[in-house]
Amino acid sequence: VRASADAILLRVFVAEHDRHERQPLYRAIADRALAIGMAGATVLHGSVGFGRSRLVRTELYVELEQRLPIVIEIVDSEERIEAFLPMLDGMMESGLVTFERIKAIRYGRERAFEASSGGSDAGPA
Amino acid sequence: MQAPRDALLLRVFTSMDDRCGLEPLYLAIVNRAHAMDMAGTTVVRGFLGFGASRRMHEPRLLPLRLVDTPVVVEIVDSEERIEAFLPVLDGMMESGLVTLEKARVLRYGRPRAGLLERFREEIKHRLHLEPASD
Repeated sequence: VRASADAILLRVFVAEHDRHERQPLYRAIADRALAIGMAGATVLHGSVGFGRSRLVRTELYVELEQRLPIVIEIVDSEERIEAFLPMLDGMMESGLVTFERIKAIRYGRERAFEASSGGSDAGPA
Repeated sequence: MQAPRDALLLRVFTSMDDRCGLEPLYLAIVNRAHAMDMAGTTVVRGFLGFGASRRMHEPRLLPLRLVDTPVVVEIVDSEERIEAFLPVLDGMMESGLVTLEKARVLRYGRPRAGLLERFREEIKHRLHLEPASD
């Protein structure tokens, strides 16, 4: 088994109709993460949800404008996540951002997490 | 309520197009987890994402099939069982990301137990509410 490295899982909870400069917010966040070289991002759809607006949105109703919950997940080293936060801050108007400490094992052509602690190496062999 | 127990949440970030042998990787993982009697597995489909290839993956509908769908496989089990599953997973993964996090779990063992009983109760309750017919 490859060694695991300490990493941070950043999760951003937004709504499908949230926008950033006429682009969907989730798309803007994913594009920005790719542009600044974050290790990876995955965007997931929720089926039902509510946030500060207290409105329950579900996929059972087809609305003119879809307003489903969206979760953007980004895993990278703590420093890189910290560096991404100010950018995220500039894009978010409403929504929730959470962090979790996790262990990550990466496969494939990927670079190792920079500054993986404990001398562990998640890089490719 | 059952007492929470310490467990690990294993998540595998991959693509629906990735394969293990001939089988889609995410299905191979679910099948192996099932064969090894892991506590449970859930597969969640994403609709946008990127990883090592530095290319934004967006599901597209080609004739007959959907391609480029990001997918996350989640497995929750005890630390020992997840540790035992890691070498198996290691042999299956070519690219992708695996994450591990500590979780506390409450398990409800008998899915839908008593559902029939609940229906009976509900029917009895409703009949009771109906005024007597004569």
